[in-house]
Amino acid sequence: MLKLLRGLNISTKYNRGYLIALAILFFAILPLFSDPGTLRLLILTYMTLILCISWNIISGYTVFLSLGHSMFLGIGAYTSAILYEKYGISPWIGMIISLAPSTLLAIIIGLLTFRLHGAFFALTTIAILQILRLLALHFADITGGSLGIIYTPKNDPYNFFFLEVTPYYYVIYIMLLITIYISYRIDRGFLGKRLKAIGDDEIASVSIGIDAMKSKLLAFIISALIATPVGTFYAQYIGYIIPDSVFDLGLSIKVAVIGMIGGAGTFLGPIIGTFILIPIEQLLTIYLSSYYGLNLVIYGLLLMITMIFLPKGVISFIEGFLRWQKKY
Amino acid sequence: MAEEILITNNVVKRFGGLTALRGVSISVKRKEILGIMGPNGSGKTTLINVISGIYMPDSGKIVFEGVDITYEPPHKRAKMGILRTFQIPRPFRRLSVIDNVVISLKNNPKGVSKNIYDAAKELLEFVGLDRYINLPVSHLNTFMLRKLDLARALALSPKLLMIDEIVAGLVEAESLEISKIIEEINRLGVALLLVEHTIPFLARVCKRIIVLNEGKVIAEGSPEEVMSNPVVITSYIG
Repeated sequence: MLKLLRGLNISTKYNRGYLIALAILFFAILPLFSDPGTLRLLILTYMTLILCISWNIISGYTVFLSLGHSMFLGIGAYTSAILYEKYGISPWIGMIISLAPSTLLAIIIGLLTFRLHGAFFALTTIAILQILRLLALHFADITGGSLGIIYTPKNDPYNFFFLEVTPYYYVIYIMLLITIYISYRIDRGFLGKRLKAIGDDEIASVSIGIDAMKSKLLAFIISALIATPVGTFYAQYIGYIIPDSVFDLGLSIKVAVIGMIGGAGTFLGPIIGTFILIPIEQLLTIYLSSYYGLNLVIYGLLLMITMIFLPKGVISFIEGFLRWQKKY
Repeated sequence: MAEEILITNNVVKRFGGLTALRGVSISVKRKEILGIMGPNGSGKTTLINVISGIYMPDSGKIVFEGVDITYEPPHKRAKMGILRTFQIPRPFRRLSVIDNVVISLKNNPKGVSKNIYDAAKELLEFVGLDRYINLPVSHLNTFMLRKLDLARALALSPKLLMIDEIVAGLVEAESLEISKIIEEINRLGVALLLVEHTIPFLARVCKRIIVLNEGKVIAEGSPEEVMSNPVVITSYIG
């Protein structure tokens, strides 16, 4: 087995390119030989992964922990749904329009909290999430209140409605590929280095001329711009939204936990974390659904085990293995 | 052009009930190496933090190249040419040695005329870290981390470089190497403000020393004058 792993020599750039191209192709043709159940699981995984990458850009790199990240999911879902329901605006366009309120919210939260300690940011994100949830419940004539907004299933691609699961798979798959590309460029570029520097030591970073406030704001805006379209997708794919399903504190915490288990502040961390935890969660839901809440207990245990044995996430174990492979 | 590159005028800094700086007025001349010394808790590092903008003063004024920078944020001061190192090195641990310098070079207001990685390599060569460029900073010892701190500050073409207790805990050979680097930096036209706890290192590289005690300037002069000053002796011995 070790010989086989060494023989792979996956650290070379050449082979890595082939592996990435193969992976992209594999997931692109997957709907041709997959049942709808598998595609639904993958759609859920991709949505979570996009949210996790979005979370990672602000919280993983700068270490300003967002615990209310699904606020952007909710804004995306409600903005496009309301625009479609009230004004007949296509959710494709609604998806773009929803970026404006998300950006504005990211700027407001950033301006209020980025000068303070990271804990204030974490608490503010939770508070804003709850405020948005309550607003969605309160303004029932616009949002549908606790009943939410329900779509009638139909096939209308112009308005982002499909009867089959495959088109949804391709939409979220393209969104995922774009997100991964953005995340890769940030990680390898100067913005990623700047954000890591701020996360490592903000005082040292401003002492070498980094405008920490501006960089954190930029990171948070990018993060919001990535997460918001997932909300529109979610609304169209599920067919209905209620405040509790999109302005969801549990989902926000889950995204953060996945990022930390995979390896916060790294390009691969969210990808690894999502592909480990979402299948585990689904298996728990299938086989242990009668034990309500057990998945959260297992999440907590996994987080504790990772924090104790791999405080930098599973990615640190993989990197260690690759270094070992290179050495021998 | 004024002879002084930096003037602090009656700077006061309080932390709750503790007054760390009690009206400190000093000046740093262009291209000089000025030493600041004083016993523990005398306000040396607080002074650097106030000049670099990490702390805002409660009162007083800081003027750099004729411009009042008292309330300028630290990143702007760095871009104006006021750089500093830290008593306990503060590297960016998730970046490699060279990326620590590259990220700093990226903020150089004049830009970098050559490839940014080549420029970073040159700076690391200057401080003697060229063998470690691609290593994570966790592979460096304290002496190397202090040199990395220097390279990172030099990347912004400083006009005034404040160096905080760089030889504390180093052996004589390392201290000598640091002295040579500092003198070389000064030959490039950079004014230096060296903060140290004790006098031997300052006496080797500085012509003028200012002594702080309990947040006040208590003496100023050549190393010999300062060393023989009874007020200074009393402040150290008690």
